[in-house]
Amino acid sequence: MHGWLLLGADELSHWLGNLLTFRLASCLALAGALFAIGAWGVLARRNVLLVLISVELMLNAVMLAFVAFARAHVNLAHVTGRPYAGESGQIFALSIIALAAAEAAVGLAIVIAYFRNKGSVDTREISSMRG
Amino acid sequence: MFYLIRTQEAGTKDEVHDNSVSERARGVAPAMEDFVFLLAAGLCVLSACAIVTCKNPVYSVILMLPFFLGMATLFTLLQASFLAAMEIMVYGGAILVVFLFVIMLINLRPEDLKDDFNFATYFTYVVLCGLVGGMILSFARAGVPHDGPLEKAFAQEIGVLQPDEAAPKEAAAAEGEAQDGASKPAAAPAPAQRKGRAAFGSVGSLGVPLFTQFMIPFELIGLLLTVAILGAMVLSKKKA
Amino acid sequence: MNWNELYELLPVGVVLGTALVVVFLDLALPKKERYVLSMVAMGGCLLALGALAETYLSIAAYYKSTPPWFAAAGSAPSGGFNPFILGGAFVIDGFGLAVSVVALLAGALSILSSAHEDLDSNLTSGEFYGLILLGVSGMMLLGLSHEFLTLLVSLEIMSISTYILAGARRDTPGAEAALKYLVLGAFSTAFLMMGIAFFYGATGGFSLAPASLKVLEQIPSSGYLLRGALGLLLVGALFKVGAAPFHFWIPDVYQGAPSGVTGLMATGVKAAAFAVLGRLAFETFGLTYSYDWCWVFAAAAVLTMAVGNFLALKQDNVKRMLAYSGIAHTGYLLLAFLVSRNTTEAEAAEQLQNAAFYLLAYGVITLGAFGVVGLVREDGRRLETFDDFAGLAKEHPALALCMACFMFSLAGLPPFAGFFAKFLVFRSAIDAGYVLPAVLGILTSVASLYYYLRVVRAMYLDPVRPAALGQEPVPARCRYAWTSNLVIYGAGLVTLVLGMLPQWLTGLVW
Repeated sequence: MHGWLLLGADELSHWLGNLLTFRLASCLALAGALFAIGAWGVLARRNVLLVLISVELMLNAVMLAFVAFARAHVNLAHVTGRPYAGESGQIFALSIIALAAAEAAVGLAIVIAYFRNKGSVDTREISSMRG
Repeated sequence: MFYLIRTQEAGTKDEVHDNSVSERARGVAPAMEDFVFLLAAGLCVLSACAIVTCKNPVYSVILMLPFFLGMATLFTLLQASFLAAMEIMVYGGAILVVFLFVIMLINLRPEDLKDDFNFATYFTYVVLCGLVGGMILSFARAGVPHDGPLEKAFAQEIGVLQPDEAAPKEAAAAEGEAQDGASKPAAAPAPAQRKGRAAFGSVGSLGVPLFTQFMIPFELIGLLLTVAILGAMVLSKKKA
Repeated sequence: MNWNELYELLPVGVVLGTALVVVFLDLALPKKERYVLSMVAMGGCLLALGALAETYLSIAAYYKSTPPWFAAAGSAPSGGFNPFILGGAFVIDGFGLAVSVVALLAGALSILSSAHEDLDSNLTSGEFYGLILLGVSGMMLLGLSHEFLTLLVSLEIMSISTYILAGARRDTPGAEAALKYLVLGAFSTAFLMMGIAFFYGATGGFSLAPASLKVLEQIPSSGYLLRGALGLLLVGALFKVGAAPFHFWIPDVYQGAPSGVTGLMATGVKAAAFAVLGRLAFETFGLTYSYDWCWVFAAAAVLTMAVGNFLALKQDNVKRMLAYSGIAHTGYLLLAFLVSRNTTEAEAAEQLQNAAFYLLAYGVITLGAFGVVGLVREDGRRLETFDDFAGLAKEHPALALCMACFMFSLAGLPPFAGFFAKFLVFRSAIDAGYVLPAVLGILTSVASLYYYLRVVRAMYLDPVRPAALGQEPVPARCRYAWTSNLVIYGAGLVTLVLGMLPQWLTGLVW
């Protein structure tokens, strides 16, 4: 039973012990934590450059999740019946690197265009339009 | 109400908590793996926290380096050696430098860096993002029970065979299967299944599917880079 | 992989080829002959529409009737034709082709309505048209993709080109719009990617086929992973369509972007994002798991209709009002995604067909309306407020008439296409047992009459713009541009025809 709200001391120490070993669930927990940190950076910070860096953090978290799942699925191909079950996760992570590079390039070009127009990189100053 | 979950609960009602590490068929040195994992994970989390809270974006960009190093370590642990190399080369080598370059280019004044610390706003977002992370965490933990097939497959040593040492082990595996073919069902795939393939996570093992099954998305990424190049031209052309 | 199957993607190939031709032709042409570029780009779109018709007819021949809306559900085609082409990366079915048609029309019309811009500006350059065409190809691929990796890459092709297009004018509102669009787009894509990671964790592959979920029989605990995947994917996709908790980026981006690009974003991008939602909900997860996704759509629809219409009431800027009305229409469209326990596959396909009709009608109307907004200007200053539209009917009766048509149609008044589209969507929601959301939809569309009719009142009843502080009254002026006029009159005609003879289209396609 997954008693999330009713974690006893026993279960808590048990769960923490699991989290601190190298397992799939702990890798996913790390990915979730990094994703949340990145999301906080996107939402709370004002500097556009920091916002873009935070997006990169989120993408890295996603890559970590993919690679962790890939290590499990490479041994599960006989269950899922997928060709290249493990490799496909890593290939997706590789594609994410390429997408992140393209997004960063375009994002920084837009930041420069914005800076030329406004003389600032503060997101809260995106306010010439209201309503 | 939720069909997906109902099917799940029927399946794992008799699940027992079993934390004995010895039961997991681990890699060579489990304690070492755990230690390196904790080290890299700690490095990643700490540097990520520092990145998003830094006042000066230059520090953030510099702090991305330890973050990427930690990520690359994790990828190596997770048998993704090629990705680890790419992480360092593309992220550490290219993206990070571009960020640094842009920061230098726009030459921020100190007053641009002021970030009026608003505890209420920050705290709201902490709660919001904690919720997002907690949701991911709880779905991951529920979906990957620690003696479920995913976790077992994760802990299993990956059946990697180099072509030269393939032959004897393959014979042994085939023999083993012949002996207890029924008592050793799908849960333990013979390493021989991966015979002749390059080590998982290496360039060779990724290259073959990349240029066969995933050829189309790979080509589409080329299209995406064309879009990015065109975009950089449109956005940075001088005003006429 | 059978490379002959690439032939089925010929429409996308035509669009991509045209994009390259346009980009390179720009280098060879003198500046004053730049109008040729828009003609070439337009011609490419028409050619691609022709190729699309050819693809449709050829696969219809395999099926001996109309091809199924979703290839997975329909009867097997004859003659060895496999709808899942290129190793399952894409699927050729009615749904994907319908999305492609909307994307192509949106691209063609937005090219035409940008053609009148200054020859010096970025908006008439080859790169601009090339980016529109590349974005359109991304939308078409998104509608046809049947695997998460191709889906994500197509989505990025579409999104990145629209980020750039939003900022193509390189003025302050454009840069702000592009920046906001980029940051929030990348944020939502990260959620989408995390959802795909969970989906991969559950199934070990990226296929969007419903057969992927068979893994639940072997690994029951994957149900949680799939549920997490569904949640994250829906958050990402609802962000992209601009549904209510995630709508806040739409008004600023729509207002800041050039009008032609806004039209493309409001129709093509929205249609492609709805394609993701439709495939995920109706094909991959399907009716078996509708209890897991339907309530999300119901909640999002109610919230979106309420928020969009309420905020549109207090706008002064026509472009911004149209942006909020776009949010409201997203809410109406989401009503088409509501299914009940008893809904059959055929009924579900019909609901999505209603959604496609809605997208087509709404797309044509919106592109026409943004075309008018893009034309109304004075000495290079864009006039976008309600006051700027005052007395337009006296100056440009035909344009004003078309704009009135669009407004009535968006409001859902009877003789126009919008009425029939809304009627279909509300009826399907009521059939599925969601009476309250449908009633809310009807009430909010009545309320929306207020802000749509404000435009009509300004054009027909208000005197020509009142003089401000001793200035002479200046009438709103329009640039003469036959390309834009073509878009506007064409869209007006289609609005009328679709409204009076909807069965003409519905009978033609399904």
